[in-house]
Amino acid sequence: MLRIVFALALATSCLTPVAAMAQDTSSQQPETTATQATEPAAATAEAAAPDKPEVPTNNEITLGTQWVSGSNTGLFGRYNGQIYKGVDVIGGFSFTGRDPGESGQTFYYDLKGVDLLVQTGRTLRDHFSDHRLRSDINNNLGPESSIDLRIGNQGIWGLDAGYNAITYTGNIINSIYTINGTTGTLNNGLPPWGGATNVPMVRGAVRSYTTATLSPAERLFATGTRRDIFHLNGKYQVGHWTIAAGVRHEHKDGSMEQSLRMNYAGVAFTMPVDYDTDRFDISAAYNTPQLQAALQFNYSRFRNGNLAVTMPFPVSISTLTASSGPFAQSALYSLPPDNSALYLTGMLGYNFAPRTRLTVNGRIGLELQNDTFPANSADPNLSNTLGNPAFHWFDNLNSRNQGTTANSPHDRALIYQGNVAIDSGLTNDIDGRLSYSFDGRHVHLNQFRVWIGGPSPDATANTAVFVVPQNWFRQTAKAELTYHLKRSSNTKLLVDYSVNFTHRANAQVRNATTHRASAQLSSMLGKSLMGRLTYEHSDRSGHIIYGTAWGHLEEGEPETFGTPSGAYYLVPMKSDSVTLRADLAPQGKFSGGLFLKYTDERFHYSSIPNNGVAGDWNLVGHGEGVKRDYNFTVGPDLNWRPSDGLDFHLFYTYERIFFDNRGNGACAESNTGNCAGSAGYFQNKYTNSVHTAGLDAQWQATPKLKLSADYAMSFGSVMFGEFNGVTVPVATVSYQNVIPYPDIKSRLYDLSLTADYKIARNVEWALMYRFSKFHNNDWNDLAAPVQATTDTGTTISILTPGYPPPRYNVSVLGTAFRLRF
Amino acid sequence: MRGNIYRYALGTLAAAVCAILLANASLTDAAPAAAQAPQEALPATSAALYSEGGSATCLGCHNASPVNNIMHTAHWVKGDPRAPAAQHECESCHGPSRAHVEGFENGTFVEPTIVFKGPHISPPAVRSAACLNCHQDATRMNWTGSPHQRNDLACASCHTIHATTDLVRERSTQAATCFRCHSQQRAESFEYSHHPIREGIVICSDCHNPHGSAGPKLVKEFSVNQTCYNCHAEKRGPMLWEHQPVRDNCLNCHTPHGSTEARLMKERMNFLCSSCHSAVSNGSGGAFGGAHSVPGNLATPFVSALANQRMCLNCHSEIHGSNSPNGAYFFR
Repeated sequence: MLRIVFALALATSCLTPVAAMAQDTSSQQPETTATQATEPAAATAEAAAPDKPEVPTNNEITLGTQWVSGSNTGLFGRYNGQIYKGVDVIGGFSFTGRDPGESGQTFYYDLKGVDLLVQTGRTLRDHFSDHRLRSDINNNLGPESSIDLRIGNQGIWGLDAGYNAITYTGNIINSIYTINGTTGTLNNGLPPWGGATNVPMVRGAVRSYTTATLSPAERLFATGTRRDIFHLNGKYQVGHWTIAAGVRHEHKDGSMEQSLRMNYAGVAFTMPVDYDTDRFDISAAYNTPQLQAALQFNYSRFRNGNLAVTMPFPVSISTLTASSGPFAQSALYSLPPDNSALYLTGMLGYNFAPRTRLTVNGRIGLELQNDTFPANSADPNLSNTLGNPAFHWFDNLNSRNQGTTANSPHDRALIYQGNVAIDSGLTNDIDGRLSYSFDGRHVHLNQFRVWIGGPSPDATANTAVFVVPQNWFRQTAKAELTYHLKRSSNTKLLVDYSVNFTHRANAQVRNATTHRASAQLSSMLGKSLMGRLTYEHSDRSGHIIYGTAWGHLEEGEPETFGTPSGAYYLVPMKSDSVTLRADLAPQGKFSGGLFLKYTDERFHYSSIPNNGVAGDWNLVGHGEGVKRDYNFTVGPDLNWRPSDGLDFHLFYTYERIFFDNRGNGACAESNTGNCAGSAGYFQNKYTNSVHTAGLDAQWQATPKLKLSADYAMSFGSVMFGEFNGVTVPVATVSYQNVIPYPDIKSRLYDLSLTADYKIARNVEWALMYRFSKFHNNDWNDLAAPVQATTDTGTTISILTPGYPPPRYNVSVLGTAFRLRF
Repeated sequence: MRGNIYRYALGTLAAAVCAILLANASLTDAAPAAAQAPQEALPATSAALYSEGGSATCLGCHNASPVNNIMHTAHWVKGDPRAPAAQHECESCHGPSRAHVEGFENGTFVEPTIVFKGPHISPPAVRSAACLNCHQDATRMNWTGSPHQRNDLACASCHTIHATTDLVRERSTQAATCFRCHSQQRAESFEYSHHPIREGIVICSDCHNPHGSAGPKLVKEFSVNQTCYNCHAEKRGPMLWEHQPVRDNCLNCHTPHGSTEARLMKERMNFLCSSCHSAVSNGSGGAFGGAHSVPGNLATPFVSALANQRMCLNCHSEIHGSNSPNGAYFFR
């Protein structure tokens, strides 16, 4: 999308809006495009631009127009709702005023409008819906706009009211294929369940759905959401006290890409979004130079206008008998339930002495959810169990029968968090810090169980699955020391050590301990160069329980059998990280910086016990998961000002992300021969490399004419390395002779050119051109919504959203006027 | 045993706190403790050290943009007794600078007491103390010991005071200020799936409090998840069936600044799921068929839903948790 640029935007903010003109950035003299991580003690920081008299105006109006052309503009504009080709009108305003500083009065006001876009005839189309779920989003006005008003008497009271909109058109692209029509039925009058009737249980005119017969029923639906957000905040100050309160209401409407498991491995549909989120805050704060204290109460409430979505089954039945069924002909897909949260937060800061400070933060809260369950709904199946409409195998086990029912969870999560820290100058050259923090969550809910898989709600060929609350208590104690080795060169050594204890209920690792230590050495290297080197090591330990987390809640123990894999974020892990930073403070006309960071994590999984109990595993090898991952980032950032009024900024960043996942199959990793039976161990290596570079230049060509250019590019490459441990002369199943996925490459090119001309003292005109191109060859995105089980087969595997890899190629031409008065 | 360790740790911490307090009690400055970082104190102040003419003296030399832009800002509202202009004017922030004025009269150059740029720039703690003397409120209460403070950033490292508009406080230009140091996040913001940071729609301060916070990574709330729930409240739950890594930390699966993978995922989704679910017995183990499972690629004898479009989420679509009685495996 286009945002006409007037402001002296800092490098790489390539989408500065038209209404940035309304901000008086032309009078800014930032130091600005220089990279400044620190101000070295002995460095010279040069003024960024020559002195210019400031225009004595407080008000601005901006009005412009833009023309968008190219391919797949919808994808290009997915973050701002400007998804259509053609001409739009865009504007902004700013009205600012305050009593003169010398007058003794304190009134101020500030009214701003940003990205006030007008489109015509553009609507986020309605999606699959029935009479309850229909949602039309009118995106004509301001899909990305904001209006904000601030008024008050400085030092006494203040009000802030505003509106802003956030539009997002689709997860990946702005439309998906689905066979579900707009009235809760299948497209083209396709009968659900292949035409079989339920009552009486006779075989109807069955249609055998194949890729050929189902494909014509696929229709394209645009997806997207829009948030409309309103807020009102106020504060009142008296003496050292500040009382503040605020309300915020957000409505989010539209649809999102989603999929549902039926007999096919996923059926894409457009999920309705009708969310309301309200928030209320109130606080009281006491501030003096020595003591600061605050108490806050926050209440947040989420409401979903829809409980569930009814989805008819697009399933064909090849065999039916008079005794088959009854079958459910549709599924009920649950949507996010209503919830609310209340938090009470306290904060305290106290300076005991000039070099000793105590800081305390604490929070206690409740997160609540008691929404009505959607009706139980499973997959269609020829079995008269899972498809049974009279499926009641979901029980409330509350043993004390506290009057609760099986209709809602009565879910309450108690949250308690806090930290305390004391900082002090221990000696003239040594500073110290001690801190302690905790984070706890404890969930109360009804005790529920559901039977899965068998013909009746009991243990007959059935599995009991229990609701498992996620509780934890974490504690961290940390000590830090900073030794100022040499003040004149700002040379210092900072070391810290922390220990964390985490206890989780119903988790693979009940108790984990993490030790972490780091050291940082920083110093001026010469007069203008600041360097900082940091090393960090952490070591997490804990015992892995290889079992499901489901068990009798009343008994409190998990089952002893389950999947031989470990949750990587819980299991023992060692991590090392090195960070290097160097910054060259403005040295004459040149400044810059270099950043490098490498983080490496190694995960360890203990052996799987084979207890010889029926139902336990009988596998050789270790439970696995991600074995190792690392992230490496490096790149310079340079600024050059060859003359007054001419600035260049150049940056480059290389980031490399790597994951090594291992898994456990029927064969051990040590097995080098063929494996009989099911798959062997597997290995998946994922490498993601991204090069990002940008150059921007600004030139005050004449006192009236300013030219700007901004170019950015991003090249990404994802490579896969897969092996399944099984090699055979001729592959007959998918886990044999595995060849890695093809590489995925993405390319982004983005160029903006702007000319800003001052027609008169208070009138400016801007002309802007932008070209943006993105290309991606992700094989995962195939423009074929109906996918078969084999490459040339007709048996349906999945009904996908069916969008191709994301690509766009867009040009935007715009012009705008700004009037100051 | 575990309880003993906790008690020992807490007891040690308490003893250390007492030791520090006792040690510093003997070092307490007789002057009132100002709200500054404990590492540095503000210079001593007395009326005799301030220039006689106040700002009129300063403006005699420094009366051009950008210096005098500050007169159009909240800092120069004399009706507000807390504002610098209502106290010692320029010297409220730059410190008593009579010596700086008299130096010129005597032909010698003496810097102001607090210098914010140039070869004689004051230490970061001193420069920050000038601001914290007024601005250390609830939002900035945790500045001391915060990552930015530890890395020697001062308030003026990011804020421009002598300007009618402070770029870092404007939504359209804030990210560029942060990206001057956070180059990794800048690069990630260019990747296909990203929070619209560069577009100014979601900006750094929507999630982070750069002045210090009670949570990790300077997030505004006490935890990453609570910060995410501010905008994504539909994920908050609690749900009937909860997916443990979701409730533990959103960052177990997502990388919030940008990713080449869809939906801000850290890794391709089927591999990310096999980070934890890595056994054949639960269906997520294996190489997911490799290249032969991709429709239209090579000769594809074994199309795998696990390699296509939404991958594992083709079926397990309620991945953030489900409130359906049949949502144990996140199908419903």
